[in-house]
Amino acid sequence: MKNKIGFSRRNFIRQTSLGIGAGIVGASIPSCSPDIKSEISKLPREVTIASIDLRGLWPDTTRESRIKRILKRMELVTGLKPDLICLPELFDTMWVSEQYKISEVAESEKIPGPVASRIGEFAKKYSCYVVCPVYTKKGDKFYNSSLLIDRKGNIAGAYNKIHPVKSEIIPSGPTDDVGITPGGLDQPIIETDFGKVGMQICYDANWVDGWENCKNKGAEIILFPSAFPGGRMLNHYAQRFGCYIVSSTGQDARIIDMSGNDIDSSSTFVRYSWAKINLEKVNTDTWPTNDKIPEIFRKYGSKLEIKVRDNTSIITIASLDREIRVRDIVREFGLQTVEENIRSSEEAQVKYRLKKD
Amino acid sequence: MSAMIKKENRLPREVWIATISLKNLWPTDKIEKRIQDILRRMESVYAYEPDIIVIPETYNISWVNEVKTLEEIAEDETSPGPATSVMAEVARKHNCYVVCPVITKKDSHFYNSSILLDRQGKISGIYHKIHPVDTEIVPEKYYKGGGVTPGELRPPVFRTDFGTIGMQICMDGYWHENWRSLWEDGAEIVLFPSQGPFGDLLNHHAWMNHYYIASATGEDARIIDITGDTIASDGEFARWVCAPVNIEKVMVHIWPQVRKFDDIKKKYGRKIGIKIYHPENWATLESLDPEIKVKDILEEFDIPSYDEQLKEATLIQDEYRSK
Repeated sequence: MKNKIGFSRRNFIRQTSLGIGAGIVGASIPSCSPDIKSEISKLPREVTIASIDLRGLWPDTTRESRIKRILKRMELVTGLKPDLICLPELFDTMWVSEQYKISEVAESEKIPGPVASRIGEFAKKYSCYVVCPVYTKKGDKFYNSSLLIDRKGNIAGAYNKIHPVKSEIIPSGPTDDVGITPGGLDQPIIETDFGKVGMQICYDANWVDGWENCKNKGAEIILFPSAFPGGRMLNHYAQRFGCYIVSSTGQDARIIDMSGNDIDSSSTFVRYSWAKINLEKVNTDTWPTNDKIPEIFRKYGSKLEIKVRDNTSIITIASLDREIRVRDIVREFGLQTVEENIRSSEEAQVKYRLKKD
Repeated sequence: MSAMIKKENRLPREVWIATISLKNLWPTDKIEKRIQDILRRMESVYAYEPDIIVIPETYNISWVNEVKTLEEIAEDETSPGPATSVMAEVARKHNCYVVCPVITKKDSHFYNSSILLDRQGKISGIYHKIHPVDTEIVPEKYYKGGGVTPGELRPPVFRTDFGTIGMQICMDGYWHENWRSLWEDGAEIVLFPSQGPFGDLLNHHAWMNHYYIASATGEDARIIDITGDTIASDGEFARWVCAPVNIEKVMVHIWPQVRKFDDIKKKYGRKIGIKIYHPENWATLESLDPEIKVKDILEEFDIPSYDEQLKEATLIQDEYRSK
């Protein structure tokens, strides 16, 4: 029998997320696992995220040691029943002393290879998605990739790093028997049972194009496996594109709100971060939302979560009620999301700007 | 607020920027009172001998109850009008540039403008806000009659005796291409008169384009480093700031440049300031010696600037990218 909660959750997503823009997606919505029953108390668009950093796990002796230690660290967050766990860039080979050849460790983008299979087993056991960044091979090309493993342990989609560093592209190290091919600029985002996700990797943070592409295709969460943390760059992309960002790096693991503020971060003695994020949420401009807050409170009380973010001049509105869609609230009170505000002003600007002779 | 340094002891490319917030000066009843309030607040910065002072967007009319039409308050773009003249006098008297944001009129069109006054009080440049809010533009929506025309796309840069500057106003903050084109055209400092403070977005424009930003808004006044760090900001006890920025400073990617930092320190010691931004993998190199240009240091140690490194990386990526 079809799980009632899972069913209504998927319908809700179809009516909200899928209705907003037509994104290119890699797959249809996978069926929800029976474990979705545990989500009975969840909001329809609530997603539990965990992210693991690599700190304290490098340098490492062998790939096997690294994989085991990462799996052990992943176990630490399973009590949260996460929907998604993010792992760091090339987690099985990054800063590992063991000599290996990229051509020997690269895996398929479609069928789980040795490393993706082990992560797939974990994903299946705990019914969660896992971001599994490994080298991949397609034809005669090799990529620095991020595989998204679904709740059944299958590969739901892959992202190939668009902007590798020079030393990755042109083989330079002892393990680099082949060069890494930069991924195509127009890459798909991936549809999950909780929403649309995009991915970026490490050096990609220095270019805006990949992030913008994710947003234009409707990504609600952008996952960022990396060697380096990214710092303020990630906060900026989250605010600019109104997406959650989840980073998993050699130094830290962060979950960043769509307003650009950190929600959670790994710390000295806890090398993972976690948060429940709500995709039924929008960024609005401080003005005129600030004037409408008392009126919204009077009608909806605690059914909505309204946060004023002075540092980014944003007021976020999130629905805490299964029946309320946040965009309906925006319409009801004559508000605009940040994007809508920019768009409507731009229309007037184009119309009234003087034409050059 | 930084300690005062006599002009003769400043570094060759050290620029002292003063910026004034409108906080607690609004709402107010009369335009004249607003002008006097701003002038009074500006008095706090003169002792620092600033090179440039920035005041907030349409400083004479923002949140002023006195009702005037645009026609009545718009100033001429060639010879200073009333609100510009008082600032021109400040510029002359204190030998500094002033960014004076007022409504201007040109060829029967009104603009939300920033007039750059030079040290002699003369108009040396005008920027027309490219991205006004729709309620400023559309005539029927504008409560004081008339409409503001959006400025031409691609903002100009202006040469001053201390460097190249650009200007942006308020809602311009949302359009990244303007900020990028200012960088392309060589802006070293961007002045941002505004009503809204725009918060972290300004810090991001600074690091993305590696120039200093000074904002003067209805809520705050800030000076932001080329890395996005806020150097100085106003607060409860002083609604203005005045601080130096050093244009002899560049941003580089940390890798593999960090390998050369020890050699630079050994040779130049305190003459070169190096600061590492670990999470972002950036570093800044800054000349603290009047005789040393930071570009010469980059050349000597074969270090590309951040943008040069990314440009080279992009070329390689495009060459090898899957077709």
